[in-house]
Amino acid sequence: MSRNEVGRALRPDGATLHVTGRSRFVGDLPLPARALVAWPVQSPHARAKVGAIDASAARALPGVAMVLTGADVPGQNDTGPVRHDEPLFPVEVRHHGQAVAWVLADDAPTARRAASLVGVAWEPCAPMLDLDAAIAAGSFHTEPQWISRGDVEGVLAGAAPDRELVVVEGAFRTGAQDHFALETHASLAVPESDGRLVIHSSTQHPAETQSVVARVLGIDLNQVVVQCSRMGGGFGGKESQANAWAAVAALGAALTGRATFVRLDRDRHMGMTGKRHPFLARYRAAIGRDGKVRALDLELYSDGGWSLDLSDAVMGRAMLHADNAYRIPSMRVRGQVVRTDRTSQTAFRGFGGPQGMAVAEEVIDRLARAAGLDPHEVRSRNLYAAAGEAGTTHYGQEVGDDRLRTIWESLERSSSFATRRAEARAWNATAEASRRRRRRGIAMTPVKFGISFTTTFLNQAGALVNVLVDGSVQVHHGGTEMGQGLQAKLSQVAADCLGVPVRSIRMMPTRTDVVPNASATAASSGTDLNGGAIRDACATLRDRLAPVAASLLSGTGTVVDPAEVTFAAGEAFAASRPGATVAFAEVARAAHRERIGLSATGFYRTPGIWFDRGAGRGRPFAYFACGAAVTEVEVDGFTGEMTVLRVDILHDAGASINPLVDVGQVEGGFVQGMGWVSSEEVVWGSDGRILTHAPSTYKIPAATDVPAAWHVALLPRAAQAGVIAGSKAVGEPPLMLALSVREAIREAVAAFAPAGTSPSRVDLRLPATGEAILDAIDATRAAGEGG
Amino acid sequence: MSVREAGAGSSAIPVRTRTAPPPSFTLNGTAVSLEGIDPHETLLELARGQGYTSVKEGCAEGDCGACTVAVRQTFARGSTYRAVVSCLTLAGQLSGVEAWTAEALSPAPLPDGTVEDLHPLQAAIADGGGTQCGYCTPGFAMSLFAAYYTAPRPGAAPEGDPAGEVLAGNLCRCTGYRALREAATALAGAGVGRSGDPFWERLARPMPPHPSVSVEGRDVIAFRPSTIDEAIQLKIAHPEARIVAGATDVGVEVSRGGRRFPAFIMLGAVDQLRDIGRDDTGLRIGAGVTIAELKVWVSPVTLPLVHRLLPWFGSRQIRNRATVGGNLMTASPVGDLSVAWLALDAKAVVQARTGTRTVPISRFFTGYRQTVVGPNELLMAVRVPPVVVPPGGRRVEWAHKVARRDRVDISTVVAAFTVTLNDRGVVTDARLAYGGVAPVPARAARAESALVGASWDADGTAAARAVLATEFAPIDDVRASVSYRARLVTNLFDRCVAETSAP
Ligand SMILES: Cc1cc2nc3c(=O)[nH]c(=O)nc-3n(C[C@H](O)[C@H](O)[C@H](O)COP(=O)(O)OP(=O)(O)OC[C@H]3O[C@@H](n4cnc5c(N)ncnc54)[C@H](O)[C@@H]3O)c2cc1C
Ligand code: FES
Ligand code: FES
Repeated sequence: MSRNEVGRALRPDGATLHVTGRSRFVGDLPLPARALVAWPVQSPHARAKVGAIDASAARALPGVAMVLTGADVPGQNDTGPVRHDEPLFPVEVRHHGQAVAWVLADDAPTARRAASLVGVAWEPCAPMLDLDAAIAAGSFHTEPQWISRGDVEGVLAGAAPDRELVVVEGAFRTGAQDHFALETHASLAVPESDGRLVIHSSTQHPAETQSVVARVLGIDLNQVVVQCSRMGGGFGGKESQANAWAAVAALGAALTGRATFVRLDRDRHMGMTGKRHPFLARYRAAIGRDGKVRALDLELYSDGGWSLDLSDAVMGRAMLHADNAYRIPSMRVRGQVVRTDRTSQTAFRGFGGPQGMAVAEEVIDRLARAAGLDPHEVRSRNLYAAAGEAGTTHYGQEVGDDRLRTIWESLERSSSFATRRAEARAWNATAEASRRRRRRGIAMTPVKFGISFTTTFLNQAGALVNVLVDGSVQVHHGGTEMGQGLQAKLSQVAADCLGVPVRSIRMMPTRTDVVPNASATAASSGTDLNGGAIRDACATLRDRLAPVAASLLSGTGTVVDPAEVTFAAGEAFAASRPGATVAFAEVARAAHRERIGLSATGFYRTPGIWFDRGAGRGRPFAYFACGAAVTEVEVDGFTGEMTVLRVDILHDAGASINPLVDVGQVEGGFVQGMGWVSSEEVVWGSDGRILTHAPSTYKIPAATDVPAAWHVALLPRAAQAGVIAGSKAVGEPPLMLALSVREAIREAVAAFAPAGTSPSRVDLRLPATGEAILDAIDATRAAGEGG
Repeated sequence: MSVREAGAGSSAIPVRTRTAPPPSFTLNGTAVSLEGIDPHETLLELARGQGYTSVKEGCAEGDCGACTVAVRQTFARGSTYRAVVSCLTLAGQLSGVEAWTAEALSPAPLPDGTVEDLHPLQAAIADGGGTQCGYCTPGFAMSLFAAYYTAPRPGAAPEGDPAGEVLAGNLCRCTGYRALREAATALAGAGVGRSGDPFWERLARPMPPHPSVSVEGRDVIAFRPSTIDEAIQLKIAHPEARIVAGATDVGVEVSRGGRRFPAFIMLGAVDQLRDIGRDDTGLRIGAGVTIAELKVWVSPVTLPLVHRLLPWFGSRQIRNRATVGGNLMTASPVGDLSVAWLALDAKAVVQARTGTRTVPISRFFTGYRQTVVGPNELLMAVRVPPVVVPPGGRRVEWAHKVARRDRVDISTVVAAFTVTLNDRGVVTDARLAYGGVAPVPARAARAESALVGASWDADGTAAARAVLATEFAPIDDVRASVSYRARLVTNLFDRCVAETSAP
C-alpha cells in the first residue's frame, strides 16, 4: 500500500459541510408527509408498579394519532442489548423518568401536551438509590469476576511485621459522567411500501439497533434497514442506548403506517439515558521502601443502574486497567456490577478503563505519600518494561514494547518537568507571605490502554467497495461517523489501497443492508477493524484490475506481468514499461467491458487475541496505546477554584493516518477527561431524579477552561506492526491523560500543608469540583495544624 | 372574551390597526412573515422551519450555543452584528429583526462537497481542526462571525481572554477548543473595514426602525408597545400578560419548559428604557439596558464593582439580550447584578400609571422570586448614588463569583462588597452583599455594623468576620452543600481583606 494519502492532515470528511451549515443529522432530515412525532409519558417515581394507564384525555386532543403502551407491542417488549432485561414498556418502573407510554402526534408541542394528560395509577415503592446500600442488600446484576496473580494475601498479611513494606487500605469513588453529545438521541422510522422499515438513527451500532427493532416488532432482521449517516457526538452514549428510541419510532411507524420521529430533548436525554458508571473501589496495597509496588488487593463495584446493558464488559475493562501502566507483581481484582434504581449506566469513552486507571493512580499516590516517597518517582519506578516478568500485566499479556518508558522520559524533558516543579514549589513557598492563598501543582501520569473489544468475537468488520466505470469509488463499511474522523481516515486508507487520489473516494452512509452484522463503532477500533476490511476489499479489486491494467500497459514487444502493475495517484504503471501509464478510470472501464466485477466485499478479524474469563488470563488486546501528560494547575485556598495553567502531552497514535484528526482526538479526549475529573458532577436527588438535567446545571468544560499553554505531540517513528497503515487506535486513550489534572490538583492541595511538612495522605474526590478541592485543602490544613 | 377583544377595548393600545404593516423579520436576507405565527415560537424553530437546519437545538435553555445566530443591531451611527441564542428568542420579539445563520456565509457546497468560496472563518475552523462531529459548528461559526465584524474594544483588558470571551457561550464536546480558540484569536475584528465584503458593507445600511407591531397567534398575542405609557396601559388591560425584556429567563420557560402564556408584552421597542447616564443624583441605568451595553459602559473607574463582576455574567449571547431590569425582576437568589446593586446601595425606579416611586434594592425583594413591583407597574431604571470618600480615605469595591465552572454558570455564591475607609484605614461604612446564601440576594447587616470602626486588615476585621459566620443559613442544592456555601461566605470576605488591605 502506497502512502500518498495516508499520513496527510486532510480536512476531515464533512468539515466543509459542517462549517457551511449543510451537514444533516437525523433531526435535520425533512420529515415525510404526515409524519408523527413521539413524546414519552415518564415516571415521577424512581420505582413504582405501573397500574392502569388512562390515555383517553390525551387521545382526545386534536392532532394526537395514538398513545403507545405495552399492549401495542407485537413482538418482545424488550430492548436489552446483552441481557433481555429492558422492557420498553415496563410494568414496574426502575428509574425516575422512565417512559411507560409514548404519545404520537402531528407535532412535538401537541405530543408533549398530550403526554402530560396521560394518567397513570402509580404504586410507588422504596427505590434502591445508594450504591453502598445496594451492596449491603446484595443487589447485583452479575456474579463477581476475578483476575488474580501472585500471593496477594501472603504479601499483605506478611507485611505488618516487615518494616520494609508500607501498607495502605482505603476506599475510593469515581463519579458518573454524562456523555453530553451535543446531538441528543434521534430516530426517524419510515415505512416503505413493501412493508420494510427504514430507520434513520443516531446510533453507534446500526446492526444492533436493527436487531432490537426486529425483536420488538417480532419480524425478521431482513425487514429492517437502519441507516446512520453521522452523529453529533457519540462517546459510547449511542452504543447501546439508541436502540429503545429507534424501537419506539419503528413501532409507531409499523402501527400507524406513518413515518415516526423520536427525538429526546436535552432534559429527557439526560434524565433517561445512562452515564459513565460510578465506581466504588476498596483496596489494600503495599509498597517497599525502594518505591516498588508489591501488592494490590482490589474490589471494584460499579453502579450499573436499573438494567445490565454493557456493564459487565465495562467492569471487565476496568479490571484489566486497574494496573494503568504499572507493574504490580501480586495483584487481585474482584469486580461486580451493582443494581440500583437509576438510569442504566453504559459505555463511555474508555469503557471502565478510566475508572480502573483512576484507582491505580489513587493507590500509587496513597502508597507514595504513606511511605514518604515522591509520587512522581514512584510512578516512574513502577512503569512496565517491554517484556518478561516486569513487562507482563496481571492478566498475563506482555506489554510488547518500551514505548511507555520512551514517552515518559521524552515528555519529562520536553515539558521541563523537573525545573517547572521546582519553580512551582518555590512559588508556593512565597505564597503565604504575599497573602495569596493559592498554590500550584504539577503532575505527570501515564496511559496504557488496551485496544480490542474484550469480547473477542466482536473484533470483526466488513466492507463493500464499488468501483464505478468512471474510476470513482464508493466505500461502504460497518463503522459509523460521530466526529472521530473515521470517514476521513478510511477514505485515505481506501485511496492508497486502490492507488487513487482521495477525491475519487466517496464514503457512503452506514447501512445495515449494505454491510450487515457489523459490530458497534466503539472500543476505539473503528479504523483498525473497518480499515482492515476495506484493505481486504481493495486488494480483491486490485487483483482483478491488475491483469486488465497489464494488458492496457503492454505494448508492442513488451508483455506486462500483472504482478508488476502498480496503482498510485489514479494511474497504473509497470516497471517494465517506464513512462507508460494508464488512468485508473480507463482500467475500470476496460474491466467492465471485459465483464470483470468491480464490486468487492472485504472482511477483517483481529488475529491472535483471546481471553479466558474464568481464569482471568489471556491476550485480550491486539496492542496497547500509550501516552503521558504533564499538567500544571493553580488552586485557590479560599474558594477551591482551579485553573489549568499548562498541559504537555505526548501520545502514541502509531504512524498517524491523519494527524489533524488524531491530534483532535487527543485534545478532545483530554478535555472530556478533564471534565470528568473536575467540573462534571452528576447529582441525583433523594427521590432518584437527576438534578443535573441540562447544561445549566451540568458543567462540561467550556472554551475558557482549556489550558492557555497547551503542547500536544504525537510520538514520532511509532508505526505499529500488524495494524492498518501502522496506525494506532486513538479514540479513547487520550481521555485518561486527564488523570494528570487530578494528580496536579492533589499536588497543589498537598502544598497547603505547613511549610516543610508533607502530608501522609491527600484525599481528593473525583470529580474534584471547587467544593471537593476546598474540602481537601481544609483537611490538609487541619491535619497540618493538628500535628 | 378573547385576549384580542380585551385589548381592543382600550383605545391607546397598539393592537394592530389595518394600516400597520404586517409583522415580519429578515432571515438570511429574505423577509419572513410573522403573520399568524404563535409568539411562543422560537427563532430556532422558525429558522429550521425555513430550511436553515444549521441552527441546532442542543439544550433549548441558552447554555450550549448550538443555536447561535447573528442579528444586526443599531450601534453608534451604524450597526453591528451580535451573537444571540435563537432558542431564547421568541417570535413575538422578532418584528424588524435581521438575522443570519451559517448557511448565509458562503455559497452552497458543490456536489463533490467542496465550496468555492468559504468565508475566512469557515476555512479557519475546517482547516485548523475546529470541527469534529459538526453539531456545534454552525453555532461557533456565528459567534465568530459576530466577532469578525466587530472591532475589538480599545482598552479592553489585555490580560483577559479575548478568545474565551467570544466562545464561552458555545459548548463543544468533541474538539477541546484549541483550534476554535486559535480561530477566534486570529479573526476577531479581522472583517472590520474589509471592502467588498457584503457583510461588512451591510453594516453601513440603516436599520429598519423597531416597528411597534404585535405578533398574533391563534389564541395568544404579543404586544409590542413603544412607550412606557402604552406598556403600562397594556399591563392594566391584560393582567395575565407576561412582560418580556431580553427573554433570557422567560424564554427558558417557553423553550425548554414548553410553558405557554396567555399574552406577552414585549419591551424591546420601548426606547425610554434604554438610557444610561449620570446626573447629580448619581447614575441612572434604564431597565432595558442590556448587560452587554452595560459592560461596554462600565470601567474600573465608573462602577468598578460591576466592571469586575460582568465578565462572569452569562455568555456573550446571553449578555447581548439579557437586561438590567430582567435581572432584578426575575428576583433570583443568585442574580449577580442584584448583589452588586445591593452593595452599591442602589435604588429601583418603579413606574405606575399614577407616578413613579423609588425603592432601595435592600427592600426590593420581598421573598423567594418576589419583588415590591406591583402587577400594574414597570421597572424603569436602577439608580446608583455617587460615591463619597472621606479626605485621605479610600473606597474598596470588590466582587467575586464562585460557580461550578468559571464562565457561563449560575453562581454558587456571589459576593459584592463596598467598604469606605478613612485616612487612618478605619472602616466608616461597609456593605457586604451576597447571592446564593438566602432566598433573596441579601446583605450581612450585622457584620456590616460590626465592621464600622474596625481597621481594615485581618486582625481588625476578625470580630466582624465572626458575626458574618452566623449571619446566613444557606441551603444544600444541586450546586453546593451547606458547608461549602457557609465557608464561602467567610472565605470570600477573607480573600477580599487579603487582597485589598494595606500591605
Ligand atoms: C445561559 C444563561 C446564563 C445566565 N447567566 C446569568 C448570570 O451569570 N448571572 C445572572 O444573574 N443571571 C444569569 N442568567 C439569567 C438571566 O440572563 C438574567 O436574569 C437576565 O438579566 C434576565 O434579563 P432578561 O431581559 O432576559 O429578562 P426576561 O426573561 O425578559 O424577564 C425576566 C423577568 O423580568 C420581568 N421583567 C423584565 N423587564 C421588566 C420590567 N422592565 N418591568 C417589570 N418586569 C420586567 C419579566 O416579566 C420576567 O418575569 C442567565 C441566563 C441564561 C439563559
Ligand atoms: S439550544 Fe442550547 S443555547 Fe440554544
Ligand atoms: S464538533 Fe462535536 S460538539 Fe463540537
